[in-house]
Amino acid sequence: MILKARYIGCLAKSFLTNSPRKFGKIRTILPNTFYVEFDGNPIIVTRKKGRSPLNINLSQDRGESFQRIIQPDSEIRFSGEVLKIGNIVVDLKGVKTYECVELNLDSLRVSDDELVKASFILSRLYDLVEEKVLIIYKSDQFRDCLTDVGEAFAKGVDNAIQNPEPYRKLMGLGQGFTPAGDDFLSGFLATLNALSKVYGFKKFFLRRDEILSSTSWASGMLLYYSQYGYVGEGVSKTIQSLGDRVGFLDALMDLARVGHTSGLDLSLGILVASSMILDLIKGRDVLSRVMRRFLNNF
Amino acid sequence: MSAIKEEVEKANKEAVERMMESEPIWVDMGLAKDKIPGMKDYMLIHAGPPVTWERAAGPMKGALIGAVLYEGWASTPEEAEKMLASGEVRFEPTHHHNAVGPMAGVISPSMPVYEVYDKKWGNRAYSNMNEGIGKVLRYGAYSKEVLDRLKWMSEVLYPVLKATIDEIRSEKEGLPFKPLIAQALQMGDDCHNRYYATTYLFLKEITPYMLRTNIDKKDLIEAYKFMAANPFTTLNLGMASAKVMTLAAHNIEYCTIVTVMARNATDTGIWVSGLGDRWFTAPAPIPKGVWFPGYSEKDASGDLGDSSITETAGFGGFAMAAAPAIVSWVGGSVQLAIETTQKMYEITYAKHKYFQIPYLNFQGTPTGIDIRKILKTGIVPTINTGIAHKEPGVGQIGAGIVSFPMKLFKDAFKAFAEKYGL
Repeated sequence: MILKARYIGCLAKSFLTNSPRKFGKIRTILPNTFYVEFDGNPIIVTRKKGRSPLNINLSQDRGESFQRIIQPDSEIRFSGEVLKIGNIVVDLKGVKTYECVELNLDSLRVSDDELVKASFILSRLYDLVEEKVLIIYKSDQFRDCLTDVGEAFAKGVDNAIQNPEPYRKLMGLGQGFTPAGDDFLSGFLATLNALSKVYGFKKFFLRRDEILSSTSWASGMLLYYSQYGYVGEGVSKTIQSLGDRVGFLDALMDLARVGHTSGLDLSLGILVASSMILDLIKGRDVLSRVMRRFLNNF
Repeated sequence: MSAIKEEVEKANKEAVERMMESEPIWVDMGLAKDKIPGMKDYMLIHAGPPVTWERAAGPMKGALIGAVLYEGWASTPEEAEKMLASGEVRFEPTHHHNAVGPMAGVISPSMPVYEVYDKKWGNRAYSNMNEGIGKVLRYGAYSKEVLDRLKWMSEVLYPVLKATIDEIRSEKEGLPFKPLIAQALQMGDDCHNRYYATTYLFLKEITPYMLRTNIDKKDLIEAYKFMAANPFTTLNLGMASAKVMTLAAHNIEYCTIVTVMARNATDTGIWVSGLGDRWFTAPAPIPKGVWFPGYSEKDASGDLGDSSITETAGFGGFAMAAAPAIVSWVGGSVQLAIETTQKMYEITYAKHKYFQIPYLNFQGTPTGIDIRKILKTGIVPTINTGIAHKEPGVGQIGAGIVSFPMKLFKDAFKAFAEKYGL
């Protein structure tokens, strides 16, 4: 079976071409996506359209479930311009590269009201999630993070974001392939780090070993690279739209629909981080207004 | 549960309940100028959101020109065009007047219209009589043949139907239309682009009353033959019924349910219950279709018509799984028809209590389009539709399937956040 690749992310390309051993292992298999570990690095092969620095996006958007045709722990080899997993070939000939976009904003131009509206929109979409699923913003761990990191930072304690303890409590929190806590932190840290330079605070990065001891390998890898700005194009577009006067809500609504709650949790991370920064630079009460929309107390 | 969540939940439940419990009854016929609220001389109403003459697409222009000629306000298409472009003849959306019309949906003051009354909630809605398929006014054609047919409909068909409904009314409150739709959905209609069963059920219901009228036998036979030969005879009554159903759900505070979806070939537009009569618009997409011989997608106009009120009320394209034979008209496969219905469950609030789909184990049809669910799933409403030629004067060139643009629902949700979230 030949699977034609359409796009390859900049990081995935770099992992493949720089790999000394040229072989890896299948780590996780979903119906339309499988995760490969290549010299310790992740590569995501997917039929989905959303591009990312870690992705190889296939041309066909439908087909037999990968869970039926690929065995876990199978070996995958890279030779020439193909990836081989048993009889399956991922053809990379002529594949287009999805270039990494540096997430380094020169300003936060989104307005207070846009962020408040975004919180209202997100909370209404969270209303649709089944009761049995963990809603991140209702968790104690999230509240702790908001108090210890968010509110402290918003009040000017800019090293509040350097304390890893509240993040540790969130990693691996929640159900599903990428737990809600991981998704929230991905959006949160990617946004903070993208705006750190312009507003003069220090970036923060969780260590790889720390992440992997708290959550699954696939989800942890996504979180690890997100904090460096290696995010999918939906997240990238949403964070970049914070630097525009328009377009933030549209980008957020596009992101919010990703996965079961992943898009919501990523969006929440972006929203909380940008509200904190707006408070820091303008001394407004944005984070509090945003969170009141989630708690329906306004 | 939190306060806003409760408010939205309560509002949506109420809206969909009202929609499903609505009881549309065909109660009368009359001229548009006498029946439709706000209808005036030198005024036309049309499908979809508001549009200016400059922005109007070919089939809309054609139908408006045809209506001006039909009224005798102008004697040539050029003269009609001048009157429309100058504002001498005004045109407004049907939905601003509790009316609906398929395709261009153009209704002029002296055109006869059906009146549908909602016995449960007291609303009234109006629609014109159906001309059939092909070269017809609603697809933008305005040749002599088209205008002669309209004249015949006004002089022969209308008196027959008026006398018939009067006869029905002498005995009962009118002709309830919801049971016809419910029954037809179980007989292979979707009640948007397939109205065979509905039309036969309608004729079965009205024929005894038609025969009791004092109308000349020749006219009765002509009218009967015309209606029996046109599988879309009952489309307009189905649409007016859907309009009263959705009116019952409209203007409920906090409600995120869509109450109008309509297109004018230039733009497509929606209303959301909790946001009142505010239009949210996006460019009208071109349907994927099955083409009449000699035509293709390059000839097609943008999507057109108020008939998507049927899907808004929980049938039509949303009930395609009930109408597998429809794929021979709109394209696709039986599987696609089933998948379309199944997908629509993901963006709707409820399963209809009274409209059921035998193939899906008599599940209720997907009812009450919730903009929150559209944004959460990324699934947009899919409907089936007729396709008009992009140039005025040509008419229908096919039928197909079309999805509403996501922009409509995003803009509506932004407005919802603005109204209720700040």
